[in-house]
Amino acid sequence: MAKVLLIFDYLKEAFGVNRKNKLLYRPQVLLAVLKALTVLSGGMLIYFYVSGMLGTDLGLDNYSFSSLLSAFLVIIIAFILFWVVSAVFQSGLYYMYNRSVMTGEARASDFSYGIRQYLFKFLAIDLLTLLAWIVFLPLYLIIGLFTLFSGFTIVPVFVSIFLGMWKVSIISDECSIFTALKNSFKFAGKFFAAYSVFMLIVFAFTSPVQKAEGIRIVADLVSTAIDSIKDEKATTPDNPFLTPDFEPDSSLNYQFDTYLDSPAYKYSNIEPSDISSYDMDLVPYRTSLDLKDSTTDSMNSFLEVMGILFIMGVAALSIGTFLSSLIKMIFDVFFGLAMFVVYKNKFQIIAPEQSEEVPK
Amino acid sequence: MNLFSITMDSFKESMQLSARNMKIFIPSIVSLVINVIAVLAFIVILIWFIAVSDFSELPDSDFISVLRATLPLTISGLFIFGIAIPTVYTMIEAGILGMLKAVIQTGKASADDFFNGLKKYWFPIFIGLGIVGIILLVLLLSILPVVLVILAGVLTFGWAFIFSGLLINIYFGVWATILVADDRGAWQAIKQGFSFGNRFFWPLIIIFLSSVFITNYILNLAGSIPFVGLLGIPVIASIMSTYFKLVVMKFYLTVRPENSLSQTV
Repeated sequence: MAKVLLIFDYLKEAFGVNRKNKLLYRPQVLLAVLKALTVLSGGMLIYFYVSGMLGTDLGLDNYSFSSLLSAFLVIIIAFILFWVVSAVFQSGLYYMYNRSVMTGEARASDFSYGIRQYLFKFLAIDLLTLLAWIVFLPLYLIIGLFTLFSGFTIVPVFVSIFLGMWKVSIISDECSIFTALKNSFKFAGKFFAAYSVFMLIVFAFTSPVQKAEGIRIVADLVSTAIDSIKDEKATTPDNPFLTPDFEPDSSLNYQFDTYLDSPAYKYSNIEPSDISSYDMDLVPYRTSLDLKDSTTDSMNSFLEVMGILFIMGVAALSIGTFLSSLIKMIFDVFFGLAMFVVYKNKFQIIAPEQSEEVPK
Repeated sequence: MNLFSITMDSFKESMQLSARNMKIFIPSIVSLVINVIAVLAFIVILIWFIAVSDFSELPDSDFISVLRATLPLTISGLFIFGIAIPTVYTMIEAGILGMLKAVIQTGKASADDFFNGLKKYWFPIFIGLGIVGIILLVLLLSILPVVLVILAGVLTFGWAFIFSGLLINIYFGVWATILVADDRGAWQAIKQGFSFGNRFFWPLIIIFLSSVFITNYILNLAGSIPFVGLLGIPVIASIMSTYFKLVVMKFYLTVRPENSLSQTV
């Protein structure tokens, strides 16, 4: 229990360091801007790609395998670039955290120094972690199934606890990747109870769970809005070609009976009594060609509207990415510092901090 | 000592106090059991009502006839969910806060502290809940704040929804603690709670944000374990709720205006 209570003292120390080193936020702000620009450019790429496909013909069945493959490759390259950029920022930031905790102050040059010294080690750690997950995937699946699926959640938490100090150790101890891995395991094993409580607090603030909760609320709202728009569209008589039960017959002209059931009649002003006195040739019913032209026009308008909505959605997503990254940044910086404080102190009692005045 | 340090000390001391006085968690678990019994009772009444009633003429009946036919069910539902559960909830809440006050002031809590708190504070808390409920209803009915929150929530991937809940907790979540800690009346406690939330905005954000994130994370972990989820989640939620109430009360008693500590900082 005494070691667990030390967590709060370490958080106090991390807060003090955080207050004196506002410089730590600059790389994170830049990363948030880059993320937002990535989302924006990705959205525009998708928009131009899809509208290019649709521009040739209404149907989507004209895409080729090679264009799909190139789109897939672009996505893979984008992921790799994103991973490398994240590692660049992480290596620079982690060194700044270390300098802040050890010396009390981080400098702007520490960021570039950290990138030069530790980028490839961080990339290697990420690759090794990925490889380990691939190698141990069958074991993970077996454990997950034998524990009635609880293992699927619990195992990653345990793995994250034991690997949590890997990158911290590489920088704090200035050692090799495998020595740092050993140090991380030793640290987690030696202080398991207190360290697990600390890591649970860190995960609670920085893991995707609470973000997913927020995103789930947004997704529920958006899907409710879409459902209500779809329901309205399904019942509105304004555009008969978008009603779910309408399917134009593209082969032959409508016969009289079929004409009475068609939307062309339903939305015209002709009454059955008027039709009976007309010769069939004079009945102003639509041909299949007319129907197909109307379908094309409506589809085009629909796609234009969808295109505009997509662009607005991408813009909103970019702003959302930026704002949510800024909020996440506060927790990332604070708990990043806390990790280094915990590793430095190794659950030993630290000296009491200096008194400061509380604002009135 | 800065406010962040005081907040962390509140977490730390609350953890020590709750480890030494585990009985403070019993009332919230009892409250949970009572709620479950009340819901089960309503389900039994509903099943009995459906079994004994004749609904064949209902589709052709007017509104008054339907209302008359379902009157026993409506009355029992209103009684259970509108009167019984809120009354029991306020009684237990008053008892819990009484125990928390005793544990902070004396280091120990007992069943007597629970019943003394219940007797002394349940009615003012009941009134206070009504007042706060009306204030929140008026806020919800004003469309503009709701629209702004939804817009901000979508733009920030849900963070604004979390923060809007936090704001409500900060300004309307401390009054019951103040009512018990300082023996105030309901309205005075609500006013004082609002100004306390204003003055100690950031520490309260830390406390309530921690409450939301840590509780949700632990519940998600517990929920993934079969069988634990069914019974464990409500129990864990009750324990976490009591712990964070202790943190709020500890923080309030440390920094309230009458306290010498707040005068030296």
